[in-house]
Parts: sequence; structure tokens; C-alpha cells
Amino acid sequence: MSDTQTRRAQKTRRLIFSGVFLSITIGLLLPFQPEVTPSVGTKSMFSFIENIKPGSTILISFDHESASFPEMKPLAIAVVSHLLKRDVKIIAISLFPEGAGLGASLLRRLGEENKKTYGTDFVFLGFKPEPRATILGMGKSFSFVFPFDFYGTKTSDLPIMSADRYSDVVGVITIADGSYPSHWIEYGAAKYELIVLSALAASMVTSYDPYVTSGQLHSILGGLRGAAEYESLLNVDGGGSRAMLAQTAAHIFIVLILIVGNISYLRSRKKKV
Amino acid sequence: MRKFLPISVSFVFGVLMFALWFEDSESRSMLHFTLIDYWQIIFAFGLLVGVVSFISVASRKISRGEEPFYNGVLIFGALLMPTLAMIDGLQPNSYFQWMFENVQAPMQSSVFALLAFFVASAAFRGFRARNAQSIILLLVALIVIIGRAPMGEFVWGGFDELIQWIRDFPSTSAKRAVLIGIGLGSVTTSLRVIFGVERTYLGER
Repeated sequence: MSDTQTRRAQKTRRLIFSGVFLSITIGLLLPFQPEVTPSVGTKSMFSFIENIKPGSTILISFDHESASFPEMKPLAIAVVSHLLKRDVKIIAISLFPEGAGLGASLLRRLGEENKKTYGTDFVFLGFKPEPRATILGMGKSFSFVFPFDFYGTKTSDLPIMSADRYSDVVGVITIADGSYPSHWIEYGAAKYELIVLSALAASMVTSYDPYVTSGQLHSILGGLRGAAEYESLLNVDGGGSRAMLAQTAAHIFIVLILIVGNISYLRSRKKKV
Repeated sequence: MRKFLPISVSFVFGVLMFALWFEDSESRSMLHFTLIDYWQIIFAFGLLVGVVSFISVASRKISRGEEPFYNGVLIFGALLMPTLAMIDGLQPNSYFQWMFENVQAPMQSSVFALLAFFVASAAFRGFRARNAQSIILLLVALIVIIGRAPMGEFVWGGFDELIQWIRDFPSTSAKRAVLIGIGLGSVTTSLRVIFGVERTYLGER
């Protein structure tokens, strides 16, 4: 590559980076939120939670790293808030060490906001290493794998832990940014007939579509758009809805650079011919 | 003996775990759950080996004068977090939780967010209409990018259905083929390890 070409490539890169930065910043600053229509997956997850009998217990697994937290947080808040509002009890765990830190504080905050009692209405059991062994071990009993909760309290002393087996919970919602939902499907659903639902990072959604069509995964709530759709069903203004304009602006910018890139490519090819 | 022992252990536990998957009787379930318990303990020791190795590599680099500041920060961070957890616990207002939420999580998220810039730059250079396949790829990418943003609904009302069709048919069938391949590959590799055909984990080539 000649010096002129290298300089031009660097200039283009800088322009693209500046464009992405500006489109996202402007999108975040403008006080306007585009409306979103809920997709099939979002509606399916929403109606599953709507139909849970109040007082039932559900398992939530925070299976994500802190790197993806800006995307996972609106998803987690939307789902957990809905569960707490419906008076569904939550037993939460994490198959990622970082998910434990994030899940613990999020649950505490939402629990307090919804005036729920720790240990009775919700509990956080923390992190255990090796996801497959954890899922299989919980098949015996939750307290077998988690004898103590995240804060060191004996799990058998907590009233909510009367639900101690997979058969005592209505299902599991895995809030994930990677491959962990497949462990829940392969081990939790296959061996213990656990209903698996998933709130996923947008980049992972298509990887799990085959499991939805085969019925192994109940539903997927995908990315910031999924969070915004869920918030619209809950009639709340959350992080997903607030990010929609920024996401739209970034998408428009990428469409523009794809068009510009292809026009310049076709022109350069014509010149060569 | 050096080869016989690990191959025998792989065979015995491989066959045992496979057989116990299908067994629900009380005594055999107890054996299954005891093995699972040991599995987690071994994995936890694996984490410990990782931490020790991480600290020893960073210390060696410092002693050789290779980026001493950054390696020092790495070791300091690796020792600080467990120390804070041991002193102050993991409560919501603890120092550990504060450090995690206000230092570690934002730093990792910031690095991950840089991907948006690189993806945009790569899309500009990569999505070129070079031939029929790349034109199809480009068109599908444009449909999904426009349709998944809220603006898609204003441009054309049929985007949602079209994207759902792309996800349900071309994308799912391709993904399912990959998954079946991975599944068959996993079964083959497991059988090779259990029967001692696959020995690369012993250092053999």
C-alpha cells in the first residue's frame, strides 16, 4: 500500500470513528424516544411472566460479564421489575464471577424499590464455578450447591429456600451474553425438564433461534431493542427506551457508510476496467 | 504408567458419567452428585492455578523490567479485590462492591464499547458488492440493520416480518447445520478421549 493510500485509509477510519461517536452522542442527548413495536419473542416472555401465579418462585441466572453490562442492565431491570411487581419470588445465582457482583446490587436495589424482603421474596445465592456441574448439582437441591447465600447466610435458614429443587420453580431466566444458555438447555431442560427463557445480548440472538424453533428454549428477549420493547409493554421509561434513538442514529450512520463505501468501490472498479 | 494412569482415569470416569446420566436410582444418584461435587472442587483449584500463574508471570515481567508500571497495577488489582472482600465482605455498600461497580465494570464496559467503532470501520471495508454472494450478504445486512432500528417501522411496515423470516429460515437452518456438526464433533472427541485414541492432552502429537 502506498503512502497516499495509507493516509487516505487512516483519514477514512478517523471519519468513521468520529461519525459513530457523534451519532451515538447526539442520539443520547436528544430528548426524543422513538416508539418500538414488541416482537414475537418479547411478547412471549412477557406473557409467560404475566401468567405466573403470584407467590410462585422463579430462578434467575446472571450469566454475563461486566463488559456487556450496559446492554444487559436494561434487560435485567425490565425482567426482574416485572417479576417483583407480579409478586413472583426470585432465587438468583450467577455462573460468571462478574455476574455475581452485578446481580447482587441490582437485585438489592430493585427489591428495596418494590418493598420486598430479602430472604423471603428474593435471594441471591452468588457464584459457583463450572456451569455444567452447578446446573447438574442443583438437580439434587439448590442448597446442595449453595449451602450459603452471597452474604454468608445459611440457605436453609431462608424462608424462600423452601423452593429447593427445579420442580419447585416455574423455570429459569438466564440473563446472558455468551454460551451459557446452551448449558441450561442441555443440562437443565434436557435432564430436569426445566423451562428455559433467555434475555440475551443482541449479538447472541441468532445463535439461539434454532433452540426456540425446536421448543427447547421458551423465548428470547434480545439486546437493547428487546429491553425497549419490554419496557413499552410494562409502560415504563427505562434504559432500553432511552438508548433507542442512539441506536437508530448509529444504524443510520452505518447504512450511510455502507452505501458510500460501495459507491466508491464500484467507481474505483470502473476506473480499473 | 505415566500414560496408563490418565487414560484409565479418563475411561473410568467418562463411562461412569455417561452411564449415570441415564440413572435415577437413589444410590447411583448419590454417586453422580458426589462426582459433580468433586468436579466443582477440581475446577475451583483450576481457578487458583490461573491466579498463581497470572501473578507469577506479571512478577517475572517486573523483575525483567518489562512494563513494570502496568504489571504492578495488574498484581495490585489482583491482590486488592480479594483482600477487600475478606476485610469488608461483599455487602452492597462494601469497598469491594464499590470498586467493582465504579472501577472494574466501567473499565471493562468502555473497552467492550470500542467494538462499535471497529465494527463500523470493518463494515465499511468488508461489505463490498464484489460478487453475487457478497451482494446477498450486503442486502441482508442492510435489511436487518434498518429493520432492527425503530426507524425501520417508518420506512416500511413489513421489515419485522421479513427479518423474522430471515431468522427463522436461512439463518436458523445454517446455524442448525453448524450445531449438528459441533454435536457430532463433540461426541467423536469424547469417545476418542474415553477410549484413549485422543492423547494430545497428555502432550502427544
